[in-house]
Amino acid sequence: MTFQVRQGDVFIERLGDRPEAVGAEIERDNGRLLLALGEATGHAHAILEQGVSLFILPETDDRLLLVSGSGARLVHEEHAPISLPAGSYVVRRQVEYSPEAIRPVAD
Amino acid sequence: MATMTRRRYGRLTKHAEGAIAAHLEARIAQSLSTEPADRERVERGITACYRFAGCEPPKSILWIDSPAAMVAGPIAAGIIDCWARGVFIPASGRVAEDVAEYVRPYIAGSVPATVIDLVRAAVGSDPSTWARPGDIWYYRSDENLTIALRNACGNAVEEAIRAATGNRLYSRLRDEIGNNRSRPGGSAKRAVGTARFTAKDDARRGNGLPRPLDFNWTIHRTWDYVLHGRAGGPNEGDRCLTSFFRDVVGAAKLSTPHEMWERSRAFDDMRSAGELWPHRGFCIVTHPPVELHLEVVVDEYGYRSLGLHNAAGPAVVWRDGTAQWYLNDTYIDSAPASAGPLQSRLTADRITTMPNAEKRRVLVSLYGRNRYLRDAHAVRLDAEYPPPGNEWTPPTDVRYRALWRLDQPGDEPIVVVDVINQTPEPFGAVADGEAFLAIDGRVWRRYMLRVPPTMTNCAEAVAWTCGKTAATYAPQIES
Repeated sequence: MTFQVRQGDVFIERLGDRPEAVGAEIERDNGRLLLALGEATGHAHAILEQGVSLFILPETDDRLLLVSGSGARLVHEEHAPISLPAGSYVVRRQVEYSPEAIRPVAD
Repeated sequence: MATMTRRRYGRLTKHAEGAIAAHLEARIAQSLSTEPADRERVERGITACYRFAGCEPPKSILWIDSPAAMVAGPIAAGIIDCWARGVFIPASGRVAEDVAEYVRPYIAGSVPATVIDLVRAAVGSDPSTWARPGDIWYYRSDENLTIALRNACGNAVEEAIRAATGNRLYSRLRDEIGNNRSRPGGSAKRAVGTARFTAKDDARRGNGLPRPLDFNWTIHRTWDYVLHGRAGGPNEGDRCLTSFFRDVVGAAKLSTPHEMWERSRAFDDMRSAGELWPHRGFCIVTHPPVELHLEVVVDEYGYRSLGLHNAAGPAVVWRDGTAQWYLNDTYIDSAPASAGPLQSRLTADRITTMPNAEKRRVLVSLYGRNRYLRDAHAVRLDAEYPPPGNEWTPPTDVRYRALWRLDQPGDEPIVVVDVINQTPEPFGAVADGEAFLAIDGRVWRRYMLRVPPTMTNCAEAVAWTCGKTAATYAPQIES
């Protein structure tokens, strides 16, 4: 089984190979790399370390997370931090079902 | 030529050290005050700050009652911008009337026509000030002027004080004030972060067009901007420190030029009401809210945190009657105050169809968890680590999860998976309520997530929420 972690509504899975098709890089917000942000609470799943990049994965709502060097720590106001070793990861928001569409869990 | 040097003020007296906490409390109380603004003071401050920034004072200062009015300007600007770019073509050819028609239903007459006129005049005269699609929430002011005001009356003063005290003392106090101040302003600060993120995300996805549904959302965000500007703004720590040296330590103790203290007073005066939209020629400013309901939470380290909370009425009410409802610092809606207590407006159906999981969580707590499930005619399909008893018995294990089916007459059933956060709450005091599981003095948040109606057990339901199957979902760490 691949290395998987879940911090609240964010699921992260290590990839064997970096995908070939990668979209735009997501900029940092006040120095923080935001993997997901709660609409009602404003709480964020974030990485503060440098040497970490986040990209859009085309045609999905997933993101590609590249962690280099000594790794990174995923932090959030309500969840315990999770350490991520160097590597490539797919970042996926937990989803909910609705008859109209599958949508990310909004919090 | 003889030069006069003056020693740095590098160490606080015992009296000043002891006065830090009280000064901070006073600033926070002032920030959260619902007393009417002192218009004369604010207008005097605005005029002075414009002058310190090297600009002509505004010819008119327009007072507005609520963020509803604040939002009208950006919406109008956004529409004009979209129209100008050919993104949005009004039905008839006259932009001004179309903007007014579009905005009117959402502002319910609470916005003076002059606001829209002024904003239209501003965006119409200089294309460089037009809002970009997706950034319409930020079309609040002349950005260059805002920066000029902050530089002249904020940053310049802070640099002068830093020079007079030295980096060591200044940085220590700034950290001390920042650490203690960040918690009371925390909710607003977080929400501002949300607004920025969402707007950028919208821009990237091309969702820049203002939509009717965005209106309440925008009011909510703008309110956070207002409080943010007063209580938790990015420079509030420095302003608090400036006023500490000015009013507590005593301006005379520092070698800072006298004019710097005048600038800091003018800045405080200007910011003593609500949010500002400075423009060349005019300035829009909001009155403070007339009601603000907060709950105080003290964490295990003794830090105080303030969150918006009121189940009996809106947590924020403005002079024009517009209001926002919050539960445990979670935004619920923008119903008017006359709508009655939130509990009386709740039904199991309304909770079930609420698209935001965090809102559902706090509303289930208010409504009563078992009452909600019973009223929704829920049937438990599966449970892991269930407590002894029946399906209504509260769990005793944080690994508990359950799958519920809520039958809907004439429609497909709603199936929800009932899960528990794997990290306990740091704030014990918020644990009263059925949105939490409490075991041995520790508490965990509980959520219900909707999954496809074909799900039959918890394992496959939880795996589905992460795009996996029960066989391929096995996180090594969950928090």
